[in-house]
Amino acid sequence: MTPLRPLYIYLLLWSLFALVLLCALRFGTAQMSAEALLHGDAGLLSGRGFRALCAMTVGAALAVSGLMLQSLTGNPLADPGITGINAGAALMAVATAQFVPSASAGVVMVSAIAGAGLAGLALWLLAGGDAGLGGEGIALRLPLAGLAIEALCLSLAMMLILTDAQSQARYLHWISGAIPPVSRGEAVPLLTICGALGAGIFLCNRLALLTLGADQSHSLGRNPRVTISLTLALVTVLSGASVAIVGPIAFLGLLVPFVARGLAGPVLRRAYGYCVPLGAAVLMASDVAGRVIVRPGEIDAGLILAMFGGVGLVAVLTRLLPRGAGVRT
Amino acid sequence: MMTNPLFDIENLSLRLGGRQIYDGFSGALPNGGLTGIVGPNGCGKSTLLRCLAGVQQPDSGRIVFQGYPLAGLAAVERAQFMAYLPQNPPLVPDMSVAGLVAKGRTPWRKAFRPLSGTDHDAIESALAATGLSDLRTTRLSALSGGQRQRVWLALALAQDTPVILLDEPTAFLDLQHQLSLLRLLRQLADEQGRSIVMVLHELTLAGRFCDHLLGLRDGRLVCAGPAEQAITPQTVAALYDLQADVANDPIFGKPVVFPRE
Repeated sequence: MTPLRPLYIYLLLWSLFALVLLCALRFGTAQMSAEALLHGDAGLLSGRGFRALCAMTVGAALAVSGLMLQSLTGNPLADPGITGINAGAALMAVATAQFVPSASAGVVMVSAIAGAGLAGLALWLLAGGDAGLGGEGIALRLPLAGLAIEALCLSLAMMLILTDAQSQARYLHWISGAIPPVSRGEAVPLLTICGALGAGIFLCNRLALLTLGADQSHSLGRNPRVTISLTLALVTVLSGASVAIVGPIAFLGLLVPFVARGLAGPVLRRAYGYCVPLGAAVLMASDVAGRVIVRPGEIDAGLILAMFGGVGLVAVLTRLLPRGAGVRT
Repeated sequence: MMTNPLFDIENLSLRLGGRQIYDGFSGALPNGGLTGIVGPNGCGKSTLLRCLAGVQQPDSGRIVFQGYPLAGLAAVERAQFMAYLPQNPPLVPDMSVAGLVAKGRTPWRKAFRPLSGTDHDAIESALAATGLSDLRTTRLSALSGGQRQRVWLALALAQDTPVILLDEPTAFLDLQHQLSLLRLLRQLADEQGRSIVMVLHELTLAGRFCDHLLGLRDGRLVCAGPAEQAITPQTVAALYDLQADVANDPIFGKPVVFPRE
């Protein structure tokens, strides 16, 4: 079988994205006819449109964030969820909102990014990362250190939310990954993500060089320390801004890059290009599914993803670890 | 004093992982030809190569590269002058031979531009020199160890630099592949005029192929010079604590070591 040409894959993925976008605009908790949507007072662009915009942006951000983290660490399981980076961002966002009630959306986002950065730093130190070695050496310890950070940060964030009635109303859905139905000042994080996604394309070839080894990258004129710093900064900003909008979302950053890398082969920039429409489509689809299956109620997109993500993770694991692989050391 | 050396190393000191690797190391490497760095395990030969390649900064002292301080060169500039191949390159099973070799063009390329004509020429001649032209679309996972070693060498050749630094290019190769690789390097030095510096384990092979040898032990220069001067019973004893005779090879006339233990 000849592999699909990249152009066809791009077309396929963007068509999928367009289809899901149409569904996201068409189907909601309330059933409406198409004409009512177009002319009615439901406010297509302010209601469902805004929600779809949030879902697609965050979906793309988390997918790219996972892809870059996996490339950097050489660990196909690394994603902003498992590594605790999202959880760190969530904890800082909740803490800021609770202790500084006057904080604007921008301030909450900056503190979420700071939280993501702190969690990433803790992860790097716990897993024993060495900038001179690139991502080598931390591949195995990474998920374990990440789980510890994730559990700690999420439980602390949950405690903060549950001790305060106002926080409960605002953040109980958010912590399980809900796409916001109405704008509460998400413009700043949305624009931040778009900027970071654009800048990330320039990082791809540099990061791909690092997979040849830190010294090899350096001898080809790309300092590995700079590559690592830029990649971690990108991951931190994307994850922090995403969490500020929809809360910590699991599995997307793991599964979408897995599929994208499978389609793209060794070309990181191509995988990046696939991650954007695919990640956007997956989170929008989860949101639509959550709105439709329990009408007139609603399930948060994060919960839907976690439900299907668990199954997906099992599939990834069976693919990554063929039977008997665990016996080898 | 060597006149017009390729590298002039002045009073180098370096501490790595709690170990003093060098404490005031000085030496010089000649321009052109094949230079071999030999010595027992842990003597600091790989680290010396990393310092020469500019990927490891010394704590103090300096390295002068063709008259210019190495530390003053930007990473990309440096990459246009010298290619460095580390020991034990990682497995990148997904990549094709040509795909990996094309990475060698990185220092010459501009962002978001396809490979230029010069890039293609350099990749083609690197593949031809290493005998890999027919394997260009093969994935790395399908290659043998010797072929894979040649692909990494082709990457360094595609970088198209006057200087190439190689860390144990013959490691994990059987004897006939070691010989064909060293013959290839000899040819690159003689026909293309490249300066090649490499870390080698095998004294006899190093003596046969290299124009100039540096013997290191415990971060100190024990011997330097052409094979006849650098490989003697005295230097073998000083390098390896080994009683050995040294006699000339009947065919190539180069020194061969016969251990007496």
